[in-house]
Amino acid sequence: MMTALFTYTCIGLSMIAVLLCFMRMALGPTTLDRILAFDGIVIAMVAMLVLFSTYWHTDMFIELIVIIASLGFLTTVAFYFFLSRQPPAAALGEDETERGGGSRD
Amino acid sequence: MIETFIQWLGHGLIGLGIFFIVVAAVGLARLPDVYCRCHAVGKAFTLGINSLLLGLWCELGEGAIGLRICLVVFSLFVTIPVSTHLLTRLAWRSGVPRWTRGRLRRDGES
Repeated sequence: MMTALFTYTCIGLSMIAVLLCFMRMALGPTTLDRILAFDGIVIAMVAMLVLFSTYWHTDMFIELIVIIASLGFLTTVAFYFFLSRQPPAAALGEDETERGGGSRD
Repeated sequence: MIETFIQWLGHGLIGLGIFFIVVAAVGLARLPDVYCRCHAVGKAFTLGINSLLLGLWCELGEGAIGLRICLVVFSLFVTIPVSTHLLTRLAWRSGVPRWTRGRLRRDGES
């Protein structure tokens, strides 16, 4: 059984991690940075679920952890297969109309 | 005696996991390049979340959850490096500039 102070400290630290990932998602220069920040947010959410599961001393959240981790991986793979079929300016996060817009094939 | 040892082991693993998750988030926010950020996420987040899950296993006991926590550890241990590897591959193919010694440069430039 974990003490309340230790659990609250750990949850606060994982919230700091989520805020840093949100900062990278807001000012990431490319689209890949934003996808990576989303991956980090999903992992920090899984960490919060693990902390709550240890605090309440229950094992009901394991299926939820499996589902959330799989969803994070599936979003990353879906973005990869979407962006690998786009021109490279889509992965760089640049607007195509600013570059002359002549290469839309 | 052994229960106390397992309890302190669980506390230590949970503290270590949170430490590595915060380190990975700081690296994700502070590193200069998408390749370096993928490096931070792919290693430090994996180590942190796996330490947290093993700490959860030590807290709950082996009879409570059994094989499911092994499933979660294995799936996270595989999927996080695979996703960061996909992102670095896509970044390399689409020509994201690399960071070398304080400046960004395109591939092929000296």
